[in-house]
Amino acid sequence: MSDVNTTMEHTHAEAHDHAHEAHHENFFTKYLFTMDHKMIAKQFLITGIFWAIIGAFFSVVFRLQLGFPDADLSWLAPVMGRWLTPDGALDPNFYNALITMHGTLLVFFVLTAGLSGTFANFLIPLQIGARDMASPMMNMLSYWFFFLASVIMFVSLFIPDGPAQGGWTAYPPLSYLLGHGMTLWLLSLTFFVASTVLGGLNYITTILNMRTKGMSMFKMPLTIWALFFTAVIGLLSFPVLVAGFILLIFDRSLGTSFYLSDLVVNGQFLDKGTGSPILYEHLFWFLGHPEVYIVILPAMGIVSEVLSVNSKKPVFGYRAMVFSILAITILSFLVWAHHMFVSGMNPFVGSIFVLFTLLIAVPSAIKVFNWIATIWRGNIRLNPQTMYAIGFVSMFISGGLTGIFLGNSTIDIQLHDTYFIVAHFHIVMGVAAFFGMFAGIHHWFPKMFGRYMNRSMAYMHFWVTLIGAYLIFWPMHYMGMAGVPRRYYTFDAFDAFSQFAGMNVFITVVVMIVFAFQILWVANFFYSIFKGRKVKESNPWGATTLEWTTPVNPGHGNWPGEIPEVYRWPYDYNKNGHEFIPQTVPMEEGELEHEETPAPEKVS
Amino acid sequence: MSELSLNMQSHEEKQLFARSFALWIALGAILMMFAGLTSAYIVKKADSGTWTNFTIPGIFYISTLVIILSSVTMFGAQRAFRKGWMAGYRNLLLATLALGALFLALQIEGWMQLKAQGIDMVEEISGAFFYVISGAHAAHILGGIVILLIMILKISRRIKKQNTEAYLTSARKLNVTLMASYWHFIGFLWVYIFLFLLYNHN
Repeated sequence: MSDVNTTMEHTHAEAHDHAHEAHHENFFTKYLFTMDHKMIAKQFLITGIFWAIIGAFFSVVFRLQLGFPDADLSWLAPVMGRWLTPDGALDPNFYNALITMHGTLLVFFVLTAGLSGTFANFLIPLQIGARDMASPMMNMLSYWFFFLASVIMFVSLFIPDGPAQGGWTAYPPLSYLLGHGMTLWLLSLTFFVASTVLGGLNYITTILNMRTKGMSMFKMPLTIWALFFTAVIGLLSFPVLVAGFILLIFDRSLGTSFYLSDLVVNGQFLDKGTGSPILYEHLFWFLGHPEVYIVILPAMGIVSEVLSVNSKKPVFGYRAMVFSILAITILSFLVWAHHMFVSGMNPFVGSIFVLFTLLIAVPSAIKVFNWIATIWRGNIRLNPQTMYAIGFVSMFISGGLTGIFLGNSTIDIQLHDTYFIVAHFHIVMGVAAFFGMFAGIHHWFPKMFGRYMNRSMAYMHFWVTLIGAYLIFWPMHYMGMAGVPRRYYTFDAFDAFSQFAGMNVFITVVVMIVFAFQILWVANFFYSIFKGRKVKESNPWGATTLEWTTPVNPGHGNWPGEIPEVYRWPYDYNKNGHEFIPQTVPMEEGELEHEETPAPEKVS
Repeated sequence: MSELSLNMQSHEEKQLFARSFALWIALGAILMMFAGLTSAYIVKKADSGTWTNFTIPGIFYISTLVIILSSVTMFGAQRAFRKGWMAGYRNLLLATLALGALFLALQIEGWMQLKAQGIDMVEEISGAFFYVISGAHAAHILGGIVILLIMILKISRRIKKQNTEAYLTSARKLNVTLMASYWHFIGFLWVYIFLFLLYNHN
C-alpha cells in the first residue's frame, strides 16, 4: 500500500454518509425502488446472472441433443415438461426455441444489460467523481424497463406454444409464421430497448456533465471511455432496431407486408403482396453488428484497467486506446451487411463491406498490442481478475483472427451457415466478453459488497472455463470447414457428417463440465456476498482511480465529504519511486505528466 | 461545455444542465428511429416495380402549416414566460395545444382521404409506409400534447393561487425550455417527413 493516500481514507471509512442520513430507508426504497446507482448496478448484475444461468442451461440441453441424439431425456421431464416427446427426445420445435432463447438471453439480457448495465451504473459516477447519475430517476426506470422485459420473456417460456423459435435474429418470413412466443419476444425486446436507451442517455449525459473538478476527458480511466462509446453506439443503433420491429409487428398483427412476399407454407399458398425480407435484415443488422461492440467494448475497458492496475504499469498507449475505441465505434456502423453476404447482394456492394470489415482489424490489433505491452515486464500480480483479463486477450486474439477469414465475402459465403461461424462469434464476443465481465466483477467486488470473492474457487473456475472454451469451440472450426451446417436439430440424415458424431459427444461432455464450473462461480459469488473475507482497507488493489477514495462501503452520495479533486491521469503506476499515485494527489513541482520525472543532477 | 464552468458547478447545478443535454440526446435517438423508417422506405421503393404511386391529399399541406404555426405560438409562450407574463404564457400554451390537436385531426382526415384513393395499408406497400411513418410521428405529437397538458395544469394552479413570482426558479425555466425544445423538434420532424414523402411518393 502506498503511503500517499491512506490516512485520510480510514477516517472516511469510519464516517457515515451524512448527506442521506435524514432519509428513512426501508427494504423497498433501499433494495427495490432505489435510485442509488450502486444498488441499481447490483440489480442489473444479479438479474444478468439469473438469465446467464437459464441461457447456459438451455445450451446444455441442446448440446445433449447434438451429442446424444438418441438419448432418453425423460429424466429432464420435471424441468422441460412438454418440450420432450413421449419417448424422451427433445421436440424439434423446442430445440429451435432453445437456441433462440440462448442467443437472445445471452446477447441482450446478459452481455448487454448484465455487462454494461452493471458496470456503467457502478463505475461512471464513482470513477468520474459524481455523487450519482445525472438522472437517478431515469436510471431506476432503466432497470425497471429491463425487469419488465425480463418478466415478459420469462412468461414466454411457459406459454403453450413455447417461446420464440425464429432465432435471435427473428428473420421474417419465419418470424411471421410463429405464434405467441414471437409476439412476447417482440414486446419484451421493445421494453429492453427502452431500458437501454434510457440507460445510455444517462451514461452519456453523466460522463459529459457530471465530472468532478480537474477530471478532463483525457484524465478519465479507459473503462469510462469504453462505456461512453458503448452508450453512443446503443443510442444510435437501438432506435433503428425499433423501426425494424415496428414494421415486423405490423406484418405479424395488422396484415401489412413490408417483409413478406408470396409464400408457400406446407403446400399452402399465402398471397402476401410485395415486401422484401432483406429489408428486415438490413434494419436488424444495422443494430445487430454494433451490438457486438456494445457487448465487447465494456469488457475491453475493464480489461485495460485491470491489466494496468495489476501489472503496476501505466496502460500502454492511452490515447491510442481511446482513438481505437472511437474508430471501432465509427466503423461499427459501416459493416452491417457483412452478415448478409449470402443474401444475394450485389458483389460490388459486398466488396465495400469487406473493406470496412477488414479495417476493424486495425484498431483491434492496436488494442491487443497495447494490452500485451501494458503487462510486458510489469510487476504482474496473478490474482483472479488479472487471469480473467489475460483470458480475455487470449480469446479476443483467437476469435479475432477467424474474423479476418469471415470478413472476406468469398470465404464467408462458403462458411456462413456452418459451425465455423458458431466458433468465431462465441470465442470473440461470447467467451471473451464473459472473461471481461468476470475480471470486472472480481476487481470491483470489494467495492460493491465490501468483501472479497474466494480466490481458490476463482482459479478453478478460470482454468476450466479457459481450457473448456477452447475445447468446445476449437473443433467447431474444423467441423465448419468440413461443411457441418449450424442450427440443425440432428445430423442423422447426413452420412458425410457421421464422422463428427464422436466430436459432438466430446463437445457436449465438455459443455456439461464447464457449465458445472459456472455454477461453482455463481455459488462463489453469492457465498462471498454474505460470507466472503471482509475488506479492511479502502484501496485493496493499490489503484489510482477515484472509486477507491470512497469509504469501504460508500453510502448514497459516494463521498462523505467533498468530492475529491483530480490532478493527474489515472495510470500513474511505478512513477518517481511510488508504486502508484492516486488521481487525487496534486502534481509536484516539475513533475511531468505520463512519464518519470528525470532525477535532479546531484551537486557534488 | 468548458472545463471552467464544469469545475464551478455544484452537483445539483450539473444535474440541471444535464437534463437539457439528455433531452437532445433523446431527440437524436428519436431521429435515428425515423431515419431507419425512411431508409427502409427508400430501399423498398428502389427495390422493385411493385411500388404503387399515389397523390398526397392536399389536407397534409394544411396540417403542415398548422404544426408550423404551433411552433410560433410556442415561441410566444416561451417569450411570455421569460418576461414573467404568466397569463399570456398559459394562453399561448393553450393555443399551442389547440393547434396540436387540430394537427392530429387533420392527419386522421388525411389518412381517410388516402384510403378513399384506394391506398390501403394491407394492399399497397407504399401506403403502408406512409401510414406507419406518419402514424409513428403522430404518436410523438400525442406525447407532446400530454406534456403540454401537464404544463398548462401546473401554471393554471399557480395563477389561481396568485403566486407566480415564486414560479420562476431555474428548474422551472428549464422545464419550459425542455417542453418547447421537444415541441419544436416534433414540428421540425413532421416538416422533414412531409418533404421526404412529397419528394419520394412516386
